Amino acid sequence: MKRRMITVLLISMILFINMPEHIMALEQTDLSEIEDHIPDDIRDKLPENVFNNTPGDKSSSFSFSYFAKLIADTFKAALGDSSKALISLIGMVLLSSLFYSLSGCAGNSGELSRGFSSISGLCVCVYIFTSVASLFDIVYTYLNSLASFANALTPFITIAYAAGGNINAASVSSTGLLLCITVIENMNAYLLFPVLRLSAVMTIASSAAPSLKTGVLGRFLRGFLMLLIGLTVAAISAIMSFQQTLAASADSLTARAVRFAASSFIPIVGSAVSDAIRTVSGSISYIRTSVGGIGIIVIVIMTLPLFATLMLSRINLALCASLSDMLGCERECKTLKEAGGLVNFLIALVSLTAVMFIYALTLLVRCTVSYGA
Amino acid sequence: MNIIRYCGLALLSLSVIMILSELRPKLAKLVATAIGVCMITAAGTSIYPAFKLISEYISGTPLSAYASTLLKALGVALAVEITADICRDAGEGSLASRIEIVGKVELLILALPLISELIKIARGMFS
Repeated sequence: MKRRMITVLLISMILFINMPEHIMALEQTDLSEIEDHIPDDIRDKLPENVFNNTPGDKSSSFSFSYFAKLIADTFKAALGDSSKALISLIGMVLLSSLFYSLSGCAGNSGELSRGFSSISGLCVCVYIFTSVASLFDIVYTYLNSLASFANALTPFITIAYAAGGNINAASVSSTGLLLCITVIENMNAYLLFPVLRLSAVMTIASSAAPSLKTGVLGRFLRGFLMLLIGLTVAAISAIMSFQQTLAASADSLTARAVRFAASSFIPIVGSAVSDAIRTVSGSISYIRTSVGGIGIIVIVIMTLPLFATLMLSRINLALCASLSDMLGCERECKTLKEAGGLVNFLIALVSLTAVMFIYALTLLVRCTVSYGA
Repeated sequence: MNIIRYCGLALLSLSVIMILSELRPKLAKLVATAIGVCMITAAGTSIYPAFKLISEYISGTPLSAYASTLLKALGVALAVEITADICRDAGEGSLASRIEIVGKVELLILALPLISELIKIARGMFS
């Protein structure tokens, strides 16, 4: 009897010490604080009152029509500049073809024709790689902003996990996210972009002077980098997934044990306490889904314009490569294909990074509240 | 049609040159050179409005700088080729080779700004 009384007292103490903390964390988790960490241009694209409205309104805010409009507006905005770039590229290819065919009338001496062909190739090379170089800077800035946003969101994610009683999952997820951010920042600064720029310079050299044949080395470097990034992202995602699943199971087991003890040993009000905990878990689940959902939407809004620009640039380069091939400008065709390969790599890099962060936030949304298990 | 006139002129010139080569061979070569230069000048005058139209369309666009470089390079290549051919026809092969070397140097000078632009892009990637 004495032992039973002591057990009941201990369990009551644990409940009444921990519950207020979780409820305070819940009360202090104000979604509007996330708003301060979102860039202004991204915030304008979110639905109205997304941080203030009720659960029913929130689900209707992120409707199919919202996403369709977002994608249409993004591609429409990118299409203007892309069309101008395409027309300029086509003009460049047509000019090169026209002058090249006129220079073919130069007669017997192939050397002067070759000299003219070199100048034509150089003109196309300078024009194309000026625009590709600007894409590198845009992607670098995007990756840094994504890492900064994820850094700012990490405390909210940790609170969202902790408020639901998922203490182990909170520590695991914050560690996992910080690992993602650190890997991306360090890889960008010390490995990815230096090697990518070296590959780009080799591609430029190969296009300007075909006898150098450094394009093969440039392609190898890009392929190797892509393999490295793919393996890193897959490993980080797998580790986060396993750790999160195991931590959530452990948290759920702990919470079940506490609820069983509460309903079995606390007289009269034990089952009421157990039911109250389940009620709180519904609110916590809503907040967690909101934090994760808003985070995912912000990442999508950040990624979409850059993705549209890169895709349209890739299409422009592919179209002009086909046109120059049809017109018999082999050198220009090769330069355009090499530039297309560089843009392909940038598209893959942006996609992989965005998917990795979206996956981390999806784990948050999918993780069940331990009280409600 | 202009092309019929040019063809007619070329055939007439050929007849004159063949007759002159029997009577005054040195004069024949000079006449052939003069007629060739006149025909090239006439062709250039015909094509000039087309190039002017293209220049008007692309002026103010990023292509205009490249188009002027390509036009100059084309002019250098054609001028050097025609001159070298005339020199060879006159039996001066060494003079033809010299003028071709000058043409290559001229093309290299035209390419220098493009090469420096490429080097600037490459350096900008690493900065």
